[in-house]
Amino acid sequence: MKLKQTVAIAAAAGALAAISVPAMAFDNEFHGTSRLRYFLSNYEQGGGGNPLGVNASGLVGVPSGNATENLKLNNYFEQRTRIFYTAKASDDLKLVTGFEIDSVFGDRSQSGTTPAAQTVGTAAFTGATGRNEGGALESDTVNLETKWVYLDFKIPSTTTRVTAGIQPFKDQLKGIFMDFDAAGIMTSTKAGPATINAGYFRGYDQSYFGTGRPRGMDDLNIGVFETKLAASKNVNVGGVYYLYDDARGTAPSGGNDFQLHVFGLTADAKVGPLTLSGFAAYQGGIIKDVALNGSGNAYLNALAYNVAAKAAVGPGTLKTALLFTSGNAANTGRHLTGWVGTGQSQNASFAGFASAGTSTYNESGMMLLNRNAAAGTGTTDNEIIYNTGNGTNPTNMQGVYLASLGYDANLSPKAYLNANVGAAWAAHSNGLKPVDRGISATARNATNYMGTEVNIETGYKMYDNLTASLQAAYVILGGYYKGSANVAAVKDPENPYTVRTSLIFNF
Amino acid sequence: MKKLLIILAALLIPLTALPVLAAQVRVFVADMNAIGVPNRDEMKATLQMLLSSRLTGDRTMAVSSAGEADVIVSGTYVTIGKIFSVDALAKTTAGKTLTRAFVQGESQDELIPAVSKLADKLSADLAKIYAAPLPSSSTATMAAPAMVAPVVAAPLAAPKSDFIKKEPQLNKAPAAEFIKPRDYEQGSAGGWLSKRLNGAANLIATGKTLPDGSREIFLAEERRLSYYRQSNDMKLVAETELGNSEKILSVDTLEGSDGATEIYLTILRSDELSSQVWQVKGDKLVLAAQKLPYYFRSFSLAGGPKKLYAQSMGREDDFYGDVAEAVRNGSTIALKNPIKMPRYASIYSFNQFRDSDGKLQTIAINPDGYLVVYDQELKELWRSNDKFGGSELYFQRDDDANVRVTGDKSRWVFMNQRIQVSSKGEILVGKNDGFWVLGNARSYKKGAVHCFTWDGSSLAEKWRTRDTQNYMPDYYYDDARNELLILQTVQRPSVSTRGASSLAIKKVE
Repeated sequence: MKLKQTVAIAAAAGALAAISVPAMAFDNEFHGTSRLRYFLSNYEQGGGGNPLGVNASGLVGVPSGNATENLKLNNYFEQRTRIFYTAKASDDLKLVTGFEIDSVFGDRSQSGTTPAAQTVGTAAFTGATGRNEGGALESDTVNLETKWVYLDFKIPSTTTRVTAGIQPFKDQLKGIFMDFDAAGIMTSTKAGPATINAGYFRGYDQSYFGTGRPRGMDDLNIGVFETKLAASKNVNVGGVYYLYDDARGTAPSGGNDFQLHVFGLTADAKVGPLTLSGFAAYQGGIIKDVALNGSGNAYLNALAYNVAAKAAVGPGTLKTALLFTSGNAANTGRHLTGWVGTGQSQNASFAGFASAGTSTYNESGMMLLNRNAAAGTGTTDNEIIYNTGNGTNPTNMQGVYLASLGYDANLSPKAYLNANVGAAWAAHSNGLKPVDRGISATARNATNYMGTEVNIETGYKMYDNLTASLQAAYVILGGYYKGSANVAAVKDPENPYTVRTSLIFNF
Repeated sequence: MKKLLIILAALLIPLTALPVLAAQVRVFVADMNAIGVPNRDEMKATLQMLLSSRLTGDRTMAVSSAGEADVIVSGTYVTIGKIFSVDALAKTTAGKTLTRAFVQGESQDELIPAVSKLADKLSADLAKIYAAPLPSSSTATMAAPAMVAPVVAAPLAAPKSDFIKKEPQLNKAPAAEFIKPRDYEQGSAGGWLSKRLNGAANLIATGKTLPDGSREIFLAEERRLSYYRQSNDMKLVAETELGNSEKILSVDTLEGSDGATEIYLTILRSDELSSQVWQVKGDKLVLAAQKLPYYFRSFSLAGGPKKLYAQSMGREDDFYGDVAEAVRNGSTIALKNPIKMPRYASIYSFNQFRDSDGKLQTIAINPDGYLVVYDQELKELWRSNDKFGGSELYFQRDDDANVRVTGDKSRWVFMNQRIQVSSKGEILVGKNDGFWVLGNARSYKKGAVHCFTWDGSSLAEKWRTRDTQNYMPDYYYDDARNELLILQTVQRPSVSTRGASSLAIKKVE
């Protein structure tokens, strides 16, 4: 072969190699949020959950540090920062990560951050796990949490986008069933005006808790199938199906196997000046070997619906909404009718729902009445209707009627004032209903009216990205809680209130 | 005698066209130190090589040893924080200092251009010192000053340095492809520059030229529309302020059926479009229509006549469906001739142009800021390596689905720089650069307008304006007058002030 031919072939090969390698120019994208909040509250202590939960006697306990219904004021600073980093290889391929650093001023620091070693006066702290800590003197704690790590890519030559890894997910029922971070694979496919989402999450794998069983045999499996059709620019309709299959067999008393199917229809439309949205959902399932009126299988049939409307009025937006979730009466059989919102239950059955919720309902604008992720602070929220089913486990969900009305006003280009009022009723009464000790030690209150919250939030945008705000909420407890305070005298629980001063930086 | 003079002149003319190689100063780059960088040794060698290459030109020639050199150059590259500086010292072989020069920059991306600038500075200084003959006129066209457009005739007198032109016909133009420091030294004079205008305007649109020669100009802040007449100065004629819950996203003009200028304001109110149309009636602005659920933009699609276009907002899609021509009849908008949008494109980030075969191509700025050209089937043909666009103007939409994740009740949707296509088929696009563009926190510090032509396979830069010394929120190319109107934010709004703007008008050749 002549030299000239060799050079030509080499050049051609080089050129082919060059064009076969796609141009990969990485783009780095950062986002974040940081909020510092100062709380003044009688019930909130940064612990999360329902502050007015009843004990076995049907009495509402007082927060730690109190002996009477006249509660002492808690005050604390909470700092929560999230950093999102996305490595974009192209329009169709990116790695998304999210990290979080939380602490409370003065909590724990240095080597004394292991929760097990928090006894007052104990010097021999061990370990420095540090999660959600590091706000005490000399800080220095390993408190960086990884919230999300997932690949986001489009399958070539299709309209299907895949997100694979630990990622956030919120259902299209406005979050009342699932609003969580989970490890899984989601796909989203566009077909003209329609979008189809399908995916799988593995909530828990029980083999990590000493079962001696193979990996992946005893899992909490979550399936997602959602469709949404943009029928026109003003109308979206959709249908959803969610599968919640807890096959971990974690606690026979709470059910060896818990399987839920959720079907729902959603709609969102603009009609003249009104924006309307809502959903209707059915939840059905089985809980095997549940300890409820004996032992055996229980069956669930529950409903939920929501309607909401908003319109531009004056210098702001007027909005109203209603949420209904069905509840269980004082059940003497094995037919459950209470809507179940999900919750964390690591190495535990669904009874763990009471501890940390993974269901939300933000549309109410409430701060203390129900779990609203838009006004709350995360898993340290204290709300009365903490689970959207208004109970602590699938056998005692009371359900709720929650009606709300709000107005978001722009006082100036920089200042805003939002005001909301909301009232809640338990849909059904059961063993979670407090007793009225004024009548007897076992007499449940006659009314299902839980209370009315009035709240305001006013804020000032110091910069586009930095807002200083003041939130204040007060709940007037209803007859549902009459005479139920777990104190020496017959008293009502004190009405909950919170005042939060915040500095919020979003970028 | 006359014949002799002619012959002499004829002989001299070609001589002037020859490069003056004999006058080159021989330079040896001895040592480049690197401080505060990883891979220090590698960086030192790289810098030495870069500077040597760039010192080889018309005036200087880099040689491989000190023994061959007239001048020995040493230098230091130092980074402190995000800033770097490349400093150089030129000495004679006897050790006498001849000149010093430095260039600084802000990121590694700027390093190679910085070394080029440094070489240019050194070359220029050494050429002066050694009194080397200047290159001839033809040679000079290859040097940096030649990249500057000629002065444009009245009414505006744009200096050469306002436009940095590329000369594709030249094969050899390495040094001239960089903006030279002297361009900056010439200041921002040139063309017409307004006085400081009260209010940090985000948007600009032009209306008619009035019989007295003045021009209607409309500036929009977040909640205020101001009507100016521009002649020797900017005279505020009328203004109107919107409600606190409203935000102006775009301002465009079109001549109404009665000949009066109509101003289309795209306004977002309470998460929904609630756009308005105003008319100029004498010295007043009169509301002609409101609560229109459309994004509006008037522009010259593919360099054609200026028309009004509209796009809708979806329940979830920020920009829903096709862009269509819009015709207003009172408060009714009729849409026709829909235009399919390529991926990521919206009414504010696209235009079309025709290639040399007459085929219609679509160009858009994608969300990452890259210019993307699509063919007639909306398949991607080409995308830029550099980023363009960039705006601090945004609107927000409810984002309840992500509030738990982002901590923000709203999703931020940033507007972008307009893409204009001139009647000659040239493509103009704005570009902002900033030191603080992080997620939704944007603070640009300089901007420029770039002009491209499609060469059949990619966009070739024809010229670009000098960087403004401020954020450039918007620009507008007045094709009829061949003028470029560049809006600048000279002071951002704050708690106590509306901020301030200025408007520069430059003639384009």
